Amino acid sequence: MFWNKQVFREAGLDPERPPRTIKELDEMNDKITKFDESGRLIRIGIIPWQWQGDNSLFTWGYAWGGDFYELPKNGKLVGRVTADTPKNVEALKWIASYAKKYDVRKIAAFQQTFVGQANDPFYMGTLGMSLIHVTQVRYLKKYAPGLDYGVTFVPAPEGGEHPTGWIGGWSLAIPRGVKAKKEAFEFMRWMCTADAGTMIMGKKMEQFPAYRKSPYYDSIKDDRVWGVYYQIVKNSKHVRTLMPVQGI
Amino acid sequence: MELLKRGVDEVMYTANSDRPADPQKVLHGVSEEAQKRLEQVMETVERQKEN
Repeated sequence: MFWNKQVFREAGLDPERPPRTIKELDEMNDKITKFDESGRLIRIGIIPWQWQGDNSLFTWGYAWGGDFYELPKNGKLVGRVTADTPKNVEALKWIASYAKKYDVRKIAAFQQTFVGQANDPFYMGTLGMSLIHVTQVRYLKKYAPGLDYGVTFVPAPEGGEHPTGWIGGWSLAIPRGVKAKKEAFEFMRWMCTADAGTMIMGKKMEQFPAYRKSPYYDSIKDDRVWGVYYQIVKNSKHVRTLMPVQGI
Repeated sequence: MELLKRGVDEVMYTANSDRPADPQKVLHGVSEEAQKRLEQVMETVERQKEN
């Protein structure tokens, strides 16, 4: 989670102290959020559903201590979907509390005024805190090079999981029937496990390799931005709900 | 994930209406539907293996 220190200053908050708990987040959000005279939302602390509803509930559900799928046991093929675990329900109630308190329609209208990567409300100072995917950091550096920001872990409620975070990913696959099967596999092996391949994945593609021994991690683990992502990769207990037919 | 997204949207977009959706009921519905589809798909996979 990134926070805009200038927004914190303008709201009378300590720019060096991001929220650690949901209670603190709610209090800071109240101080940052502003409406104009006509009732139009012009600045908000955080939008809990910023990254689509499903990804947002993964983020906050895990922060609450929830989970979404219980792996199969006793040789069974199918595990148990646990989207309705009480902690996920509490997380969703919290998300809904923002939709109610700040009016989801006003937030939607606010979001629609920002078109294109360069006009991200976080860069513009109208969104105080933003959950930024690792592949989005390049845009922040490109379009808001002078932005005064900090990076930290997502806050959690009392008794929740802190620090928290989860990992998703992309995969390389060889389609059935391809002629250059061996070469394709060799490329995958190089891309995913070789020092040079995994360094390219990190440095050029700005995606974290799944290979923990990659020298890429030594090169970024002490960086003030990448270091936070590194800690998530190193310590996270969660991979976004790996189950057959994940897309449903 | 599509089911989850729709569920979250339903709760969010009815939050300040006269009839707000109940998060527990919505997520329970998501779990049941996802479980059903998951089992159907795995049954199909098993049948294909047998053939």
